[in-house]
Amino acid sequence: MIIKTDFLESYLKDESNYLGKANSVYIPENEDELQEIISHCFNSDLHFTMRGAGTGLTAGSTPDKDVLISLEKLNKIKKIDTENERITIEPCVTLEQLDTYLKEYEYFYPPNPTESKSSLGGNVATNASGSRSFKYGPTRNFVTKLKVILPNGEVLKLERGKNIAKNGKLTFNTENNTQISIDVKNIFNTNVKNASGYYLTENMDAIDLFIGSEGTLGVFSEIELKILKRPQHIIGLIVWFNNFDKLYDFFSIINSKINKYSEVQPRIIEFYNTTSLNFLRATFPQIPETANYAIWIEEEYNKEDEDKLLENYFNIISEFSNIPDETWTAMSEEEHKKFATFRHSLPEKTTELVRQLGHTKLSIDVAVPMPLLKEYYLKVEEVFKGLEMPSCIYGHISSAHLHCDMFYSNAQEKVLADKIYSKVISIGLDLGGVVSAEHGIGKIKRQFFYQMYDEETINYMKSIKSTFDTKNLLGNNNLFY
Amino acid sequence: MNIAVIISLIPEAEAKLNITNDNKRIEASNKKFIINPLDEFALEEAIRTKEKFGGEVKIIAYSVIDDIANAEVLLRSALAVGADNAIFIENTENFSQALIAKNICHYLSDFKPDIIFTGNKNIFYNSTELPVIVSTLFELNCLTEVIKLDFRQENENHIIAICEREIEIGKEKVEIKLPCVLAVNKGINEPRYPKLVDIMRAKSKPFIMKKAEIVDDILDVEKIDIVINNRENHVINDTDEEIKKLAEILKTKL
Ligand SMILES: Cc1cc2nc3c(=O)[nH]c(=O)nc-3n(C[C@H](O)[C@H](O)[C@H](O)COP(=O)(O)OP(=O)(O)OC[C@H]3O[C@@H](n4cnc5c(N)ncnc54)[C@H](O)[C@@H]3O)c2cc1C
Repeated sequence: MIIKTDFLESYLKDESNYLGKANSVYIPENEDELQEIISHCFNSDLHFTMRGAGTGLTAGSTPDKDVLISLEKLNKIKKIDTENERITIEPCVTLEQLDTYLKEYEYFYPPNPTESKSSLGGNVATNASGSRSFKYGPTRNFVTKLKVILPNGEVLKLERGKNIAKNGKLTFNTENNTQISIDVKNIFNTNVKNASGYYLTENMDAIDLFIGSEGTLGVFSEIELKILKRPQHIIGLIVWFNNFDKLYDFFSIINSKINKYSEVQPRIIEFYNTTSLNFLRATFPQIPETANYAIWIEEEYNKEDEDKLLENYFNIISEFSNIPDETWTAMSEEEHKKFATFRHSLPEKTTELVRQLGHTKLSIDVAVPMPLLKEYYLKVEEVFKGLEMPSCIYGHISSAHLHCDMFYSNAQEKVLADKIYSKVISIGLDLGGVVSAEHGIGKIKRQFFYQMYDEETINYMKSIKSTFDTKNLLGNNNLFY
Repeated sequence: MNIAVIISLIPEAEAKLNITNDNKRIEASNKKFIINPLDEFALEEAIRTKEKFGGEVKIIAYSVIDDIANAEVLLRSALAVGADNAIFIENTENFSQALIAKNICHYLSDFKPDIIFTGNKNIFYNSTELPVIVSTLFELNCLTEVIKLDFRQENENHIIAICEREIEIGKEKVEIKLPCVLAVNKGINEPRYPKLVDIMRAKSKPFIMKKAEIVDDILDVEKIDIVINNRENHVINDTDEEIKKLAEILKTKL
């Protein structure tokens, strides 16, 4: 085990740049050492915070006092079971590492969060989602087993389908046969893409409580995931629009599973607004001049359906886009790689603003119920209109979840950005949305988390936490004040 | 205008390659292939030229590839960005560039190209001689390292290509009369993305497979050796002292 009391500042920050505090950093080299250090913290009443890859955007892995446990060395792939389509890994295996490994077996792990350096442990703790979540759902849908070390060092083994709540109760048995019981109530909005607080519903599966718990209930020391066979053929399309209404009508059709073009069944639908495209134009002068909005689509298909599929897409695109002939298409692996460069360009360009030009990013992560998406977008666009500082609205339109980013560079702009931030969150909440659909609450969105839930609900969630974390030591200041 | 583009299909950079037992050939089966990246710029330039003058863009492609379906996918996407038809000379494995050039000229002679584009270099073979040999066989002018291209039309039968070339000390501007061979380099353009409608159209564009007609080679590959990169590797342990050392190395050696 590596113990550091003199360590780099980077251990005190994630991608949100919020600076934390800690006295020591522990880096366990295996599961036994991890369990040992957790028990040590518990017995010595030390607060401890878990860190995966540190790519989080809400300071969840940023310690506020005492100890940071970095899982960086627990990064082994333990076993693959292709027959049952399962893979077992240590928590700090990264998405990139997993994908490279699975490629050899012609398999893939469907959730596709953009940050490929993030760890699966972090993904499970935040229930991360990505572009392919439209078809496959978020991380939650692919976690089949979790080994959890509770804050007191006891171990809980959870398997999907094995422990479902009954009559408002869930009972857990640890490996030492300690029984833990909790009352479950319906508080988690499952109709909206949601990463805001604990997953608690009356007929929930025990494993779901821990997925998305943001490092506050227990530590994942081993994860089993469901994997799928890599699809043989994928088509990618970038469709351009000059007008949001047309884009929205187009989106509504391809987003509904039953439509007159029912052979069209995308696995990804992503959105770019005008300012996002303007960021991209510098690198991609080929973007058509008259394009104000874009949608990126991906669909898996069989070779024999290719002609029909192309025709279907062409027909529907021609109906809504003003420049259907300009639709970019990727079919070969090389072309898909070029599309990937296109997509990754937006975060790269905005990171440049932050890293090289000293701007600070404020990122809104609200999702709303699908029927209210258009209303939400138009209101947000109105708020962002004429904004002097750089901004962009883009992302997972198929989950009614758009990222709205602002980049301020001085005190005056910060005041304005904060104001817009609150305003947009209120618009989202008024429409029945959630504060965070993907990045979680961590430390920096607690204010809005408390705006989203009433006091009783917050206290109920806190009581769940203290049932598992009796001394309130794990993930100090995540979710709750 | 009759415009030809020479395209080579090569194993992708990450492909792990083996040498056959006789040490004479690179094993190409089951490898992912791509269009030689510099040839993509040539293709884009060919299409732009056609957009200016009208006419026909003919692709003439070659490869050691033995997977025809894979070759067709790649060349269909080249057709989709705007070429009109493609001839693919299959299995040119172990051919010298001179022999490839002879076969290309054989299949292009009826077409009577006004201009032949190709990439400045086949990055897989690290070879640049193909455009020069093709131009010699056709008795045409040839310019390499072209990074900018304009045209001036004196009259219907007299078109001048105004080319910028990269040279050691900077750039050189050269005028060359058509017909000619132009080998282009990166930076000449931003290749366009294939469009959906063009992919659909490309499905019915002529794609012809040909065997190499001329097979007597003047060159014979004696032996291929794979060079193992002798990089210096240092493992830095996770101690503060070693980290400081690493920081020092990064500061001084880079
Ligand atoms: C450029 C960029 C793009 C991004 N794109 C996406 C995206 O598309 N979708 C998305 O959902 N997120 C995205 N994120 C956010 C981030 O990548 C995710 O939140 C990711 O899940 C964090 O993983 P991590 O390993 O970096 O976790 P960390 O930041 O280290 O930790 C995140 C949280 O998980 C807890 N945790 C970590 N490991 C464990 C464990 N083993 N057991 C218990 N708790 C643990 C931590 O305590 C913390 O609360 C993006 C971030 C960046 C910088």
